[in-house]
Amino acid sequence: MMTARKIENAAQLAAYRVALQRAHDPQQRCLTLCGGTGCRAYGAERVLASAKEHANGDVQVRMTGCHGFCEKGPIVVIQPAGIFYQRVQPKDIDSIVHETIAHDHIIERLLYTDPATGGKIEREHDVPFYARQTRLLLNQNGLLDPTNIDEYIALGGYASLAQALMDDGENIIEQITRSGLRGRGGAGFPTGVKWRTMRDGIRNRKVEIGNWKIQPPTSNFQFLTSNFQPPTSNRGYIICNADEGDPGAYMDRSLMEGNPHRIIEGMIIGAYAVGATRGYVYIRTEYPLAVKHLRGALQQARAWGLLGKNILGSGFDFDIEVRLGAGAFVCGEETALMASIEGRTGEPRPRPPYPAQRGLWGKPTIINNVKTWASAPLILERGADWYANIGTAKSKGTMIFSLVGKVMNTGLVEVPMGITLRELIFGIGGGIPNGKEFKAAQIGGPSGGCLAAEHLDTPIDYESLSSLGAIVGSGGLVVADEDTCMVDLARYFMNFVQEESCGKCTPCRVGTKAMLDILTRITQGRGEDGDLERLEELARAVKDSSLCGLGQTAPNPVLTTLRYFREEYREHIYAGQCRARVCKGLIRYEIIPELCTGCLVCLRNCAQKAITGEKLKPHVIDDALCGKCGVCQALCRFDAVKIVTGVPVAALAV
Amino acid sequence: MIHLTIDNRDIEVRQTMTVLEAARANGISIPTLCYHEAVAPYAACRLCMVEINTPRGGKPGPDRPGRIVAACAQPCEQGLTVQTNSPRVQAARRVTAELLMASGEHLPLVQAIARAMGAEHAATTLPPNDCILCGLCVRACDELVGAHAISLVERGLDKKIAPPFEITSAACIACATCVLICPTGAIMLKDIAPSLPHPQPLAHEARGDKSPPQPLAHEARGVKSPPQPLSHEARGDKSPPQPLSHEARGDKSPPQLLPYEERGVKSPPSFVGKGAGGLGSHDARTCRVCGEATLPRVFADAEYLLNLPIERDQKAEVQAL
Repeated sequence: MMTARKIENAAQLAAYRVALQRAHDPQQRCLTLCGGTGCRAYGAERVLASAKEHANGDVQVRMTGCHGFCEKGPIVVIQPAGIFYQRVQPKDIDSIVHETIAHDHIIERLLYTDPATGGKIEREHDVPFYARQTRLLLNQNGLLDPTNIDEYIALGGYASLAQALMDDGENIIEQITRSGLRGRGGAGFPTGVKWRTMRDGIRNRKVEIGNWKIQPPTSNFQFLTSNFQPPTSNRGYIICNADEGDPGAYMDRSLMEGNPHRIIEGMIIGAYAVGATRGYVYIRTEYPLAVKHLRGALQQARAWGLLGKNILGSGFDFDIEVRLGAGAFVCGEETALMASIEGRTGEPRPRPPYPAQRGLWGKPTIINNVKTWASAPLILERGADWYANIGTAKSKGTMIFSLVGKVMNTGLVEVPMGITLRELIFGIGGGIPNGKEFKAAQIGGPSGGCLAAEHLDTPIDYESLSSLGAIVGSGGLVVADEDTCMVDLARYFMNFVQEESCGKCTPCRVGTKAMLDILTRITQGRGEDGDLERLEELARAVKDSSLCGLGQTAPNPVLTTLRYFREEYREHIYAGQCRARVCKGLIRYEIIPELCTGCLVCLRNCAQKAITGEKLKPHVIDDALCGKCGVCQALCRFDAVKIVTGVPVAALAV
Repeated sequence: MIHLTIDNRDIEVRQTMTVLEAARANGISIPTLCYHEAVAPYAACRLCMVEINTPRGGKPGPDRPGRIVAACAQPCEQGLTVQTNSPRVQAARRVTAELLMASGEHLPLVQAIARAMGAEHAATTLPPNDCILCGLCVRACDELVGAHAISLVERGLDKKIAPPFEITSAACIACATCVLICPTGAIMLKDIAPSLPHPQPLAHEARGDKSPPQPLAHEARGVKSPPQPLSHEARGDKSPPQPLSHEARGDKSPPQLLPYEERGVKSPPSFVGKGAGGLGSHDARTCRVCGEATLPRVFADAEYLLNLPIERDQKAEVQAL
């Protein structure tokens, strides 16, 4: 890292970039190690320690952001050749340094094996998982060290900002509008329109709608806990919504961990375009690494003169503050998020007025998702028309999905809008493991819907998904196979929403509980005639009448599973059957006497002492005592334990 | 002035009005629960839901369902079409009433709502709670009193009204605004300020009287002689009544107030309890200050609060014109 020096104008920034690029030897061997949270969980930090120990003078060791292929972590890529090693352990580092780096000798056992062909793949960009993606936002994640601003600048970072600061805000908004970028937080509101509303709001060109009694600015909690004063001189605010909370979704985290400067650059461009003077990043406390990298990046950007007073000599002042969320899912909703920043209870409020009209501390405010902000520099750099060419007619650009669940290649996937589910799950995702059958894809988290096999060829864009009852959402994509019970899945998501409901409005607070009660009853084998109709009635009412997006979308998993997997619900209620053999109230474990050898293993390991029998004689499971833990089945070496479904236990008891 | 359509009636209102205000100003009733003219709209109870179609999207029709919004917080807009009683609105209100019944079935107010919306059974069962989380007390304390002594704490089903850290707040001035604005009687002043005395009649000077009130003389009352207490002899007692001393009662020491643990009470008097038992009487005729059944009913009928549809005699109106 070069010495910190304030960059005073665009020319100096360009000269600095050239100097950095000249100082970098393109042939310099570099061992890059994925430092995303996923790979760290696999032990990437131990691998890093080992690499630093073994590396001699001519090897650079660099811990980068998340590469996305989390299934195969820890990931090591040898640059500049791009040799891709997966599942690397500390003991492997010695051979990597002495064979691959010193003598260009490829270590076969660490290479990725393509399950389709069985062949080994050497280069990162040849791995089918990467080859089929369009990585616009994630492309730098695997190249740069997120703790060093110089690497971002050397790769062309902050050039869009320098260009934007010489332009007029109107033109920037015009470009964003023309690019067709839509909010990546899930709802897909056109970003350009939002920015335009804010710019007009600040300049008071439009009369606001309605007579809004402003919320009282302080509460007793603020008097007690805080010494801050709401900044009064500011004209408007911009907020980066990094309160990512959907189960299984982590693309925002990876971007913040791996490339924080791209987000900061996007925010400065946005602030300049709309005329805001202060920005906030609202981020979950549960993302400590992202917080650390983001804070470090902000500090560096300030030291380099890219943030703060008079940015790059343009006379534009702007600064960003990091605010930590306290663990409430609802604070990802924009009005609740603003309330939380203001120090009030994280509760949504009705819109209008929209935040762009009257937001944080009563001032016009723009809230965009991490990915939306990160897209802005890209659009300015490569042009609105280039961006508008990617994707479908109404949904432009790329979308990052976190592909999780019952799929071979779990990880972060960036694809153009309009790609089909089949390509995403079977092409990039590599299909379903263990030869199981695809059953459903839960897209969009707890607000999204479950799509069935018949929708595999539907293009993924905002309109198509919403016509099917799902949403693009933040991009969580949970794949379910034949072993997943759809009723149980719907119950899981309803349970999540019920626990995360803020409790302000009645439909969401009590309605989710009422739906959860019915779903729980069905999964316990106590479903009744009329439950499905009642569930639909409640779901429609909660969807219609809830105050904010959380409640309005909470019934989506229930509605879509009822729409596409109604037969499964009916089996639960009328046949006492769970075809996935998941719902404990509807299954029984049985020992097949012909296969049982009487080895006593299950009997000894049964925690409930539900198995009786003698040595060398077939054992019997007492259903009344059985806790349905499945240990007997897991331990049986003769496949003598099977799960039977079809008779509800409640009926047996009667 | 702008024009909008509410229930097929063309209405002219000021631009700054909400849909609820516009409807009520024109005699169209919309039920409300968490709404109060004196405080900012909160849009939480979801009873005032209406179906709207904005002019931007063309004419409403079966292929173009409207958006369901809370009328109390929806600003009027030129060309807006509002339906206050569409089937979708009715269904949503009925379910909301069923959801309110889950924890408030015992409350006369909730019963009235349920009757009006056609809700028969609670949607689920929750522990009975007098508080329906309308938030009126919090807004009144913030906006009218400026004390900020209470707020909504916790999340979801655990949400409740409480002072900071659930200890009696020094910010509370015991003005009883929250007590009076609460539509269900869930807050009692004695819960907030246990030591507060029962209101005392003003002294005669404060009332502007020269002398304290005097009983009428017996002549003025038409009684021939002043009332005479019976002497103890006349009652057949040998000596005037004497209170027994504690020794005479067989007690070793004068009576002492037991601490609450020894009385078998688990905790000191709480602020707003969770169950029906902890919150005093639900009877609006009960004095909310001392809990005695003395004061007249301070609160209007539930039906008035709800502003339920009034049967209008349209023929009579036409004739009057």
